[in-house]
Amino acid sequence: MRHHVGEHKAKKGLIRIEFDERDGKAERVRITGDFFMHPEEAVQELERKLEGHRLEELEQLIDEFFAVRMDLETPYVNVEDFKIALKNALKE
Amino acid sequence: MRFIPLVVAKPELQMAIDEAILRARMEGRVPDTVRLYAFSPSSITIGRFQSVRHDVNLEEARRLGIPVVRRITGGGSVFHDEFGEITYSVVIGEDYHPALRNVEESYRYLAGPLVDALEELGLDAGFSGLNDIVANGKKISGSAQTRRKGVILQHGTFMYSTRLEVLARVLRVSKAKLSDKGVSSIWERVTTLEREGIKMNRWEAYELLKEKFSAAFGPEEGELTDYELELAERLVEEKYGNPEWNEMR
Repeated sequence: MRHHVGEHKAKKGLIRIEFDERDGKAERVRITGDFFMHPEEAVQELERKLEGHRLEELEQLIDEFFAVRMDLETPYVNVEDFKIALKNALKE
Repeated sequence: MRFIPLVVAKPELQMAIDEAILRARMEGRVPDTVRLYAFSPSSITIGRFQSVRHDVNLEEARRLGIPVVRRITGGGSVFHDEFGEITYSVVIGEDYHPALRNVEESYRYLAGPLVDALEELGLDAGFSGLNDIVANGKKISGSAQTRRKGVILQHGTFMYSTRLEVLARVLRVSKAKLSDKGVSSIWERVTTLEREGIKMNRWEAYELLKEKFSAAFGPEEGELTDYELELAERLVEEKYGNPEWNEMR
């Protein structure tokens, strides 16, 4: 098992993505930082969406999540910021 | 609009009261509300998504007897010095003013009285980024907001004499964030009224903010309803006083 952590400073707020890699899949996904997102429960939903999937699928899953959640407000932060944090985590 | 006079209380109760007002307002039981409060003992609040481990120096906070409570709102960690900081909160329907529909404009509209207060003291004050207020170029106030079903909760700090040396010890601010702001330490970035040469005690700071919020929103002095107090008590028990919530990340 390998622990991955990646950070990215968006226009407002730091986004940190952490997960454990087991057999090529992401487990215990945690998205933390001082960004804003409401409704707040969406962050946990995104974590769950990523969990159990292969590392190479994660970026696409983030795209899909934001594409369908039209109710989300993430001031000064966008889907690209989450993807950069993910890429930084994968680089480790 | 209702104004709730200064409440001095522990952090889990302050956070519970803010959420209780938000919920009661969503249910149409209470009017739009402004309140001012202070934390006792000195406390840390962290943003909804922050990692306790990464963003707070927990050992140092424990050593100094500073509790850590997670907010309902996003954003960063805040050190609320018992005798150096007043917190404001506003719970307001989005339809109160057109500025409230837009997130960025709403921060400025709702925290505007803090800028008025700083200007009255002769400081060069204004907004910076999404949710900060700067005085003479340094951060003196930060705000955070959430929105539920057309109701906004925004709360934020006003540092009149916060001990910045304690703040720097207990909060962990990432290097990426500091360098993004063009500074290498929290000292270059944050200030207080005291540091800008203005001595004030809690009551003077409170009266000044009360006057500016009153001028902006014209609230009537009131009190929390039994419904809100009971809800707040429950929220302390189930959420803000519970490690399951505070240490969830």
